[in-house]
Amino acid sequence: MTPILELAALRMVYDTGTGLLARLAGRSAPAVVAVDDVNLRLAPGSTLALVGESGSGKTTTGRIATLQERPTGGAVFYGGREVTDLKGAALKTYRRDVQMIFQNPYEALDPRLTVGQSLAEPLELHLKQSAAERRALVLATLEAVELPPAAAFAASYPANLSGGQLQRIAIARALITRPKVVIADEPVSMLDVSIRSGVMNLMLDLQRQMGVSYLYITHDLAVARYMSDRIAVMYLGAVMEEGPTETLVAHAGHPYTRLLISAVPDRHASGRRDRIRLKSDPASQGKVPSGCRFHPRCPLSQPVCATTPPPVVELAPGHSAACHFAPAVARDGLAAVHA
Amino acid sequence: MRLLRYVFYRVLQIVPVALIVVVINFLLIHLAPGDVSILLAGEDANPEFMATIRERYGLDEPFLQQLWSYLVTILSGDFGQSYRTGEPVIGLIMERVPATLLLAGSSLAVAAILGTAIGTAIARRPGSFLDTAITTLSIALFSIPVFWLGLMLILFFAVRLQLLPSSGMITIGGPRDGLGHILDILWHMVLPVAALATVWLGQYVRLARVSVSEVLAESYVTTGRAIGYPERTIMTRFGLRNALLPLVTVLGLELGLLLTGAVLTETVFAWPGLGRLIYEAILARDTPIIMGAFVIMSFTVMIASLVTDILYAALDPRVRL
Amino acid sequence: MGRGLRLLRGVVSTVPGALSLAVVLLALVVALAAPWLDLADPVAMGREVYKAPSAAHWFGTDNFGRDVFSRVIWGTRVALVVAIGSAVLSIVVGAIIGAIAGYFGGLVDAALSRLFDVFLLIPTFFLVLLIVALFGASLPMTMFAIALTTWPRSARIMRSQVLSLKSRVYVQAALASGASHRQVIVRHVIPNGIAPILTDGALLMGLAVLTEAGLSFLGLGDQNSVSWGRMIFEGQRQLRLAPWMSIAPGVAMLVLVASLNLLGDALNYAMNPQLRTRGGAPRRRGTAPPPADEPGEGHGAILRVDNLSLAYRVGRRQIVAVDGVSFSLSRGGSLGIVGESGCGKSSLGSALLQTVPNNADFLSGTVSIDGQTVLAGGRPIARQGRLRIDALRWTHIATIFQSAMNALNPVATVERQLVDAYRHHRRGASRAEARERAGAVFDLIGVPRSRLNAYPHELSGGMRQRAMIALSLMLEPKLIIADEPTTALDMLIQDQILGEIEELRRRLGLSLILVSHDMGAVSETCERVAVMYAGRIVESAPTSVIFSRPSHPYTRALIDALPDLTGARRKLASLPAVTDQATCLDACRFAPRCPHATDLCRTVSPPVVTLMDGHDAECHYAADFAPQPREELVR
Ligand SMILES: Nc1ncnc2c1ncn2[C@@H]1O[C@H](COP(=O)(O)OP(=O)(O)O)[C@@H](O)[C@H]1O
Ligand code: SF4
Ligand code: SF4
Ligand SMILES: [Mg+2]
Repeated sequence: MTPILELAALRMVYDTGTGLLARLAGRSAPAVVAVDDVNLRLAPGSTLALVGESGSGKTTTGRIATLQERPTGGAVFYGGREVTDLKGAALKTYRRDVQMIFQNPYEALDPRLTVGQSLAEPLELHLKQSAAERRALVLATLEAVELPPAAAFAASYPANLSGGQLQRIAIARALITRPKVVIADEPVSMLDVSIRSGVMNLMLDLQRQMGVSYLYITHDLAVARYMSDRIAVMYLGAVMEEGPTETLVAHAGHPYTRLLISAVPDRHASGRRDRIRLKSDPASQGKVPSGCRFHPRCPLSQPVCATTPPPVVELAPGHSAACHFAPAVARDGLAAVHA
Repeated sequence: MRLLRYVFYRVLQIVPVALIVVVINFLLIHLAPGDVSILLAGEDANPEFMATIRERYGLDEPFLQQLWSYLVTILSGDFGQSYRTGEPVIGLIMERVPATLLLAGSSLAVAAILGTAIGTAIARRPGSFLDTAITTLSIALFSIPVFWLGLMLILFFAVRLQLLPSSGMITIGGPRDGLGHILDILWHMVLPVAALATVWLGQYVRLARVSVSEVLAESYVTTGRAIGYPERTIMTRFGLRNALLPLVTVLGLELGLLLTGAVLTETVFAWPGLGRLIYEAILARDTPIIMGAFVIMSFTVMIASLVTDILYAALDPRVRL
Repeated sequence: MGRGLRLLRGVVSTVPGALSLAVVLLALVVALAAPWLDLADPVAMGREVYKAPSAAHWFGTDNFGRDVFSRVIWGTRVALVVAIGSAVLSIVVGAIIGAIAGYFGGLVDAALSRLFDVFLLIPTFFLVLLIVALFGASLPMTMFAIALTTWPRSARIMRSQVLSLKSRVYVQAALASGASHRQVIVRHVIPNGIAPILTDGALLMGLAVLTEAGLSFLGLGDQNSVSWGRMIFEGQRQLRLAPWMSIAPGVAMLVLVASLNLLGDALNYAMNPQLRTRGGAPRRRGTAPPPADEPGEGHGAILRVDNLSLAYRVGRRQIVAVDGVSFSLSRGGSLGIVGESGCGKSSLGSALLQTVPNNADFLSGTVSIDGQTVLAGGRPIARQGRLRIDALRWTHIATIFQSAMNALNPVATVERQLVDAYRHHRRGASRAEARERAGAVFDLIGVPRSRLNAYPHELSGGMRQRAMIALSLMLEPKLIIADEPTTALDMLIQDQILGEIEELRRRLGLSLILVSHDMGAVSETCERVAVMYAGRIVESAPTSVIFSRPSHPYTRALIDALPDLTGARRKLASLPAVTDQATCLDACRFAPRCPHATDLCRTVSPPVVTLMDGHDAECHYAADFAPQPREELVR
């Protein structure tokens, strides 16, 4: 099956805009490589989770997928067609089909507009409808995101709503034009744990009803597992490991993935885990380490890791990891190399 | 090292600003109604002098060439001659600068120190009656036209009470050196400084109140209280130290307004500073002096803001351009 | 326009605001009505020169016998024309250029903001003066010159507004859903960004009036108009003979300009009401003497809290954030306090340390730390005028705050802050000793000593939180309260820091209170867990018990809302997104969201049910829920 959305050899370099004067003064910041040769495919009706810590390039990848930003290199394909340089009316159509949900629900809606007005905005942009049709659709969508009574919510202002409610409305706005793909950038990370599950369940229900595909960005592997069919783990701009969700969680072949897994507390039986002490905090994007970009923090790092970039190793069909010792890690976990 | 680099960078930034000031001057002269050479040389200048002026500013050359000549002339410190006396403008201005700086500096010192103290004090009780009253009063203070306040002070202290001198910097026939001279000047300074400082006091009370209470709402202040520091320490080590930063910047930025106030005050009190010079130049339509004063004032403010920015950088480790 | 109305109400709700608005409106009316008022001709000369104020000439007459009162009134016109004219011109030009610079950024922005900066550095009055001197003194020229020098000010404000607005999610969302830049600017950016620029407009108007007056005073005023500045200019020479000539216009100008400035101030506060009362020093509270029957230092539980209640005053409303909380913590014990945001966890923490904001009141409660009572009956304990908590702070009880970002003083190095804290409590300790202690603490938490010299902003989020932990350990406290110490951090760092806190606690024998909204975060670190909902502890139990037999529906929801990595994928429990938290006083607070609520729950507040020793739950049906395995309750 052709993927609905495909990112091919994506690369994004930000010139940090060092001015002439700054350079004269001996201060020049290196260019930041936010996304470095990323390849991802999203199957229709499925969810691909993009997992990584802040600064790993998840959000940039998402913004490129919605064409809010154009990549420095590589291409974006939608339904098999290249859309990287889309402009004008075609771009507008694309935006109707590929929508986005953002992290911060508290800024998601224009504070001066009612919820109803905000929800009507995408409709006004894309569909020729009568005001009555539009209103009916707005109310129906509010019902769909479990915000009854819909009429009351449509008339309220964002300032009077809670984070969970606001994020449901943001989801409603993204889905109201019936898009094929939704990029969801950490949609629950600013919500309380007790509110998160409701929003996640809602997104899953809507996917079942509408067949929409999600590119779901998160830093929490447990959330990724709950939401996705496939997971891609990113670190400093590059994909470290990719595979079907359950396989990746059970047989992770990359030490970084293993660390992420071990960082999720076992929330059901209290008990103590042995935590692995990391050697350092994350490197900055300005200076990507040589060889394997994870080597300064990797508990399994060997001399070869500092000099040679690891190959992408196929561990099983559709499951690959970029580590010199991927098969061993997939088999024995973090005990692999020390033994 | 960090600071040195900052200073270097910041000095470089000044250059374009200085150029723009000179270009504005140039454009104004050319856009103004009337002949450029008359503007520069004065209406009653003799033809030879006119010719030298045309020569010096390259007035017969193409526009860009003229701009270049003008830049070179101004930046070499040549602001032309006064119509009235024929003396070089730069000399006339420099002669007056110390008196203006004395007036502006003393008023600033009084206002900034007193204002910061009062503002800090009322910031301890935000929203209280005293806070509202003093804030309102300080807004009223900086709404007073300073020249009018000067007149009122003269009316009361010099005319009615005959307590203090109303004009000039020294008593004619008074002591010309030693302690007597200094006291004489101080005596003459009382009223003008009072006028200028009153207006600025309002500004500083308000600024200090706002930035101190903003800092006191920060969580590091709560940390300080949780550690158990007494309120006095909290105020100095956390509150004032952090609140001074914005105050210092504003000090640099508002120097232009301060100089404006100083000039107007000087006019009222016949204080022999730049203000007086400008006032006389306006009456005599002595354009080169007005232009020269504008450029010099701009440069002064620029240098002052440079100094305050560097001070800021020294105070605040976060600054790094 | 509900917002406009609310703003207006905010302005007139304070005395200075209402007064200044009234004055400005009055000035407007007077200026508009001047031709129809029964006034003497302001320019007609008369024979009655230098007349002091009288019934015929309220403000007297001037050297040409003109009526000063009439001239002051007509002067209002000139003042307002200049003020409004130059402010409008400046705002329109500034808003457009500022919006363009901010929205498009890049080179356009770089060039334009350099230009704004230049104007910031030019003493604008002298530029206005120069322009008027060169181009001729007239009212329109004055207005034009003022606007020419002030538009960059409006532009700067607009630019920074737009810069912050354009990263707002709703602007991004509108663009992502296909709106054009023009549509976004018109619909979202300008309407949301214009408010501060309008507020500044009032200040600009005041500035314009003063500038015009200053010019007139220097003899550069419009010869054909009656302006206050000109009147003062003329009055100056007659100061001894006819002081009223200069007094009246000056007072008029002072009143108008002050009103404009006060109005700008009031508008600003009406838009950001919290600005007015933020900050300040802690207020004095009524204290109580130490009770006779306390165990004393080293005896009893490390922390005992009994019926603690705390309320915030917001306007006329009272928000009870902590409502009758009781618990105790044994020496060396660790307690997790879990609940959603706004349930009062942080308020509880700050109440224990008595670092509550000024609008907070202790309604009741007794707190004792290490056997010493610090709060009794809602009153702080003091002896000989000194608060008892002061002696315990940092030496007995220390805290790690939620936002490590701002919890450290930005202008001092980490070492300096550690050393200061140490020397404040260990009187007589030398600087070298304090440094050594700081180094030792850094060794303890495994951070290289070289980081001691860093300023907080030079550290990464995780490192900053570790510096805060080091600060809290400086004086070997017995009890540490950590308020969401890892909430803003990435998963890996979060896990690392929780592990480090746990390890330190065991090694140093500390007692710990860990506050979090995440059951998972406390599950491995704490021996006991207390679940908070709407200001009350609704369930508390040993950690293993609370996970195996949660007895309050809210606790169950918290646990079952957590996704995990092991076991089969099951549907997560979720609570409805209700708005209305306000229920009748005698009800279970959780009833509006509880899947098991009955009529009993909605009318009678539930009792505390003790299920076994050390396991309490506040629910009518706790005893029924307790024996059921967790999964069965999930719908
Ligand atoms: N300074 C304050 N003034 C008024 N209300 C406050 C203040 N601080 C907190 N509140 C309110 O008190 C309640 C509890 O807040 P908080 O203790 O911060 O909860 P948590 O830490 O659990 O998120 C909330 O409703 C909050 O809005
Ligand atoms: S290649 Fe080496 S450093 Fe990189 S993840 Fe694998 S073991 Fe670690
Ligand atoms: S008392 Fe009733 S409403 Fe409250 S938690 Fe128990 S079952 Fe739910
Ligand atoms: Mg909190």
